[in-house]
Amino acid sequence: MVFNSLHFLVFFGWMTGAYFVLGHRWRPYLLLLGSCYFYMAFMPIYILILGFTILVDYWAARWIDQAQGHQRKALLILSILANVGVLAYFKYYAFIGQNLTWLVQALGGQLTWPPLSILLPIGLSFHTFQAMSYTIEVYRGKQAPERNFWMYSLYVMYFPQLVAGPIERPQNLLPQFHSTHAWDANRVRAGLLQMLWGFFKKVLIADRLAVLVDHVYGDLSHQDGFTIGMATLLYSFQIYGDFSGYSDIAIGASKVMGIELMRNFNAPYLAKSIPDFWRRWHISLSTWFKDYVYLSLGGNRVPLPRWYFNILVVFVLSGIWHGASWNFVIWGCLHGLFQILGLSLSRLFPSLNPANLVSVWKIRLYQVWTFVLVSLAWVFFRLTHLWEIKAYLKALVRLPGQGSFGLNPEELCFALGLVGLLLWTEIKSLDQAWLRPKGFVWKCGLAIGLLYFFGVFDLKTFIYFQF
Amino acid sequence: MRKVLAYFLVLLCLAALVISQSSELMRVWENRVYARNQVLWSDRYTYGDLYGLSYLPTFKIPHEEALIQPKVQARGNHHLSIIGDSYFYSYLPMQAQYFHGVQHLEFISWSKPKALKPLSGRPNRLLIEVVERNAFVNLRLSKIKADFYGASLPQESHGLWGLNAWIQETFYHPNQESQLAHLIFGTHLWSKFKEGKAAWNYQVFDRVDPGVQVSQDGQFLYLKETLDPKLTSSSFYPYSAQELQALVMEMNAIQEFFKTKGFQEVYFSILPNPVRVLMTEAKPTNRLFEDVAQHPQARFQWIDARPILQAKARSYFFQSDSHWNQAGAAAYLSYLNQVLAKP
Repeated sequence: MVFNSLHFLVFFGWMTGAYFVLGHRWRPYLLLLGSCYFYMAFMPIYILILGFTILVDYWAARWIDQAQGHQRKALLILSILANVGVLAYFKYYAFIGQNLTWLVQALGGQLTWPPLSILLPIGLSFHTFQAMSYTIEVYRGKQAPERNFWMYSLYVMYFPQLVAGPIERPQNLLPQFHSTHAWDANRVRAGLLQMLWGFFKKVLIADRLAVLVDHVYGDLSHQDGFTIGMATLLYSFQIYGDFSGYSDIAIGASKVMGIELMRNFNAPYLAKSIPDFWRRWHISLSTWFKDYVYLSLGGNRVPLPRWYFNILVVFVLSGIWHGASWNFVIWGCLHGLFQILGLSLSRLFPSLNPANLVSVWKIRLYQVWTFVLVSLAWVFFRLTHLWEIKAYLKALVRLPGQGSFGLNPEELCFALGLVGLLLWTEIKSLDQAWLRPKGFVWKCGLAIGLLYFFGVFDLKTFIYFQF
Repeated sequence: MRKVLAYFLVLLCLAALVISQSSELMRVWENRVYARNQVLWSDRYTYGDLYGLSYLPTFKIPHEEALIQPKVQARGNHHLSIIGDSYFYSYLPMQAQYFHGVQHLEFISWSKPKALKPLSGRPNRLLIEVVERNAFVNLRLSKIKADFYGASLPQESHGLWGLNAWIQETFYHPNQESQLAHLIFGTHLWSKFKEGKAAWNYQVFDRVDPGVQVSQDGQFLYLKETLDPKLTSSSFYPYSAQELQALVMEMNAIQEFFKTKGFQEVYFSILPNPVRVLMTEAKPTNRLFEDVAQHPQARFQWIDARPILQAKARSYFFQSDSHWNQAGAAAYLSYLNQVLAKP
């Protein structure tokens, strides 16, 4: 069930109505039931995988809480191994097998890796990371273990953020499931408006840009440098509209029911540097890696080479988290290298440090440069095969005049206008003004009208669902 | 008041979910609500199936999908079995009296296949009708054996996968999204909105529903798959000599297969895609009909109604439907009866 479907809207209507009809005590159970229905729409049997993760982490956390000394660490490692094991089996099995086979063949040997013909459970990386975050926090003593099994199940399965985040922390989510949420018309309105803003970004911007991007990337051999360049830039907005749109719908849907999810995006294309970009893009994932990997490796309180190594490790892991394929590894490496390069330059030439910028024009220049670097890295997010990358590079140096966008001039202008609108709302922080419940009725009317008449409703799934 | 609204929302959404996840309930909804209700009637098929996909207001041309009333034919002692599609069952009365020399008639739809059995003690004829866009897919012996003689009956799943299948069947419908769309927005009450959006997208962005394309002269709507040269369903598909040979050999094999089943005569009739006979596009169609008919290895009886339909194409096809109209159906039936009348 994708958010941009009628199925979800009707389900959400039912869920919200039932949520406010029921007494506070029963609401978490209703949410859990609804979350099961939501998840099972993809592949019912895969709920057993979630069940396994939930059982393991629920008991691991309780035992960690009671255990002492090395036992605690052993239990945490066991829990992490179980989670990573599930992830490795379903997501990385084929990738590992493929690379091992290549390696063995390169060494002159022979290896037959049995194929695994199963679908990847949807949102596996998201809910696995959320589950791991719980046991780690219990181990660190920052979170008491949840006694109520169903409440913990809801923490892992909560439908708005189950398949594509934000990856929540137990300290934020679990207490909210225990507390009561009275009807608050303003909060409900704000939630609905945030959902509409998410739909706007997904259905109007991302899916329309997808037509152009798919056309260009789908036939690289007939494109020229200009069309490739445009598609590269517009893909950045497509993926942003797609993923941040999803997050807005998730956060808004949850807000309607009184449960606040963390902010996942903060105008990432206005970032002045790559580290700044990662403070604004997929915040729940970048803070997860920072808290549980980067700081565990020593963060920046280590010698310089080790610091750079830590940065690279985090970004490579982030790349692998996104997908079991070398292009994601390259994407992660690129971000790590950009970051290291930026840090090195700032150390050598302090005046170049983005934190020291005062001039508006210099800030804009840094923003544009950061956007260009991020967009170049996105290319490896989109192209999965070496031959595609070769075709891309060939097309990039082809003289203009041979490519086409797959959109007529009016639609192209419209798409570019939407991108401009998105940037403008973020520069002026209009998206935050939109979320204020004042003028709710006309805002809804406007948004629904725009969505209906200008939206692309072909049920394109969210890009981040594959992770 | 808030609680009442909440209860209303719960019931409304629950009803929508329950109805849309069941094909049977959707049929009941179609027949009881949309078909009989003066206020809530559906605009999906009233103006043609392609209007119902595209909602382009210029193609809002009322027409009925009514059966024609043909002349009663001379009765014979033949048993005629027909494998066909909506070109037949939506427009032609499936009764023996309208088919020359036929005493018993059996019609089996491609979409609801079942084993064909000839009647003993009388001459058995079989007509295999298929629309051009489905020819390469449907005219395969393996498919016919599988679909009509049970080889493709779904394997019953057991254990966890059985449970998985049961949950999917009980709670989720593979077409739930389109069924919900039809349930909620199928009524004509939304027509103006649907048409407004369609007109805007067509006039400004030159876009229509992805399944539909407007003819070059702007007079007809076509299924896009019948124009896309990359698809075998297209009248512009540049099939290779091997593909043509394979098609002909499959038709020979299908004929032989049914002869061994007890049918003395097997006829094939491929109905042309509207775009082939209406000739509205600037480019020429492929030569599938000619090539099949003239193929040196063709050993089957071939009813080529294309010349008949082409002669008055504009009066034989709807502008906003993927089918022929009643006049086209009548012309075809008349030609078919001439063929059946031949000794």
